[in-house]
Amino acid sequence: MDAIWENLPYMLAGLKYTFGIAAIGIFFSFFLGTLLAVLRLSPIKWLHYPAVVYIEVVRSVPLILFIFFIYFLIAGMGYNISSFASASVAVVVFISTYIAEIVRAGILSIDSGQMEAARATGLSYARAMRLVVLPQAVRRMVPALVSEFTIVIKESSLAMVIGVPEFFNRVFTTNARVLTEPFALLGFAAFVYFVICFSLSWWSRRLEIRMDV
Amino acid sequence: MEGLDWNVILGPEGRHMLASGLAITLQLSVYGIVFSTLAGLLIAMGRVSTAPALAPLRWFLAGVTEVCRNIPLLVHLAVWNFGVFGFAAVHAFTEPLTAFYSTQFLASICALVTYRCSYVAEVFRSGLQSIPKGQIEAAMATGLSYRATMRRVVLPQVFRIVIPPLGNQYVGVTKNTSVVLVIGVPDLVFQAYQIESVTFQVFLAFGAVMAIFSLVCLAESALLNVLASHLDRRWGGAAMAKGARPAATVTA
Repeated sequence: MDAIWENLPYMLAGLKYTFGIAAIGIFFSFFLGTLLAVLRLSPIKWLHYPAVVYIEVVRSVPLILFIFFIYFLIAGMGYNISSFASASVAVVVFISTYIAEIVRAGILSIDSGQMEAARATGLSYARAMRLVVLPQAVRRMVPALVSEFTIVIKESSLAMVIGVPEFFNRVFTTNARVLTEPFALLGFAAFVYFVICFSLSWWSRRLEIRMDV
Repeated sequence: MEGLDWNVILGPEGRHMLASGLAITLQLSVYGIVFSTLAGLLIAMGRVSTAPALAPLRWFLAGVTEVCRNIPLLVHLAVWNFGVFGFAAVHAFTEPLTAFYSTQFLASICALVTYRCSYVAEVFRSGLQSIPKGQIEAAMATGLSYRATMRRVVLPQVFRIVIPPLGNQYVGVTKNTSVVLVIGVPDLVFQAYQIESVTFQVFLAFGAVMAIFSLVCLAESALLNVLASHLDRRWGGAAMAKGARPAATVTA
């Protein structure tokens, strides 16, 4: 147990990066994901198909490959980018496709009469989508978005492979240095992730119940 | 950035590295899928049991699945590799297997299973709960035992219902195998990393592995879709009205 107390400030400081990646990831993925969902639902073929291909291909590749690929690609082009920024970009590229599917389900759950009525009042497709359908869809998506956030918290631990000093990276290196207490240190990591993710998913379930009217 | 040198992935050395990585990735996927299906099914059957005496088992299973689900895969992997497989007693136990597979490989399978089985259990549980109680009562009334009812009446229907969501979980297992390079298992991602660090061909090294992963995952879900429609044709009934079931898609 001493290993935990001695390294506690060092390990917990990594949560800054964990939450940073998750927050940046969810924020930008929300906009990119919404755009992808609208494109995918668009009746215009040359907007629809590229979105479908992007979503399906990205979803069939593991996140860790994007983390490596984007990091080495940007470094290879000669730009100096922090591993944190590059991991955040990878998370946005990856998570936006999952959010796109959440948003798409949200939009499809809105009665088609809403769109028809909005169009009938003379709004264009884009304006009807933006002013009538999306505001209603977003409210229904909140629980799913919160649970996506817990997924991003868990997946952000993958950023350790390019050396982002996030929480699990710090526990991992501490464990490699101490060597004698793997269960205490890794159990501590498990406990911290569990507390964060469980409370978030509990909150998401409450939101779902409250919205279920 | 230098020009593309296709030789790094198509030359004999590159091909050999990618093929050996693919072999590891596929083996991990298959073992992970088989064992997490078995574990998930057992957990689900425990959780839907109704006997009052089994209540502690149900609480235990509910707790374990909740804990396993809320912990990142990397933590599972590290606990198995540095924790459980660090014991001498465990080594004695895995001795016959380590002749064929490294300890890290075995730890990876364990981690894939403990991470994924809770999701698979949820899939089976919702499948089991979707079978109307009346069917179980009717089967028992005809004189079948509880086990015969499960095996002959309930489970065959459950398998048909759960195939699409189960397919998503299987694709998830395949994608999850990509993290094992953290403990040094030479899977596809590891090989891409190796090729890149020697040749600096980022596009080709990672692009090739992305394409392979994409193909494997899409093939997996296509296979599950074929299986689902085959079972529907064979046994299709009222519960399985055409179009009532979403097609399997690729997910996390």
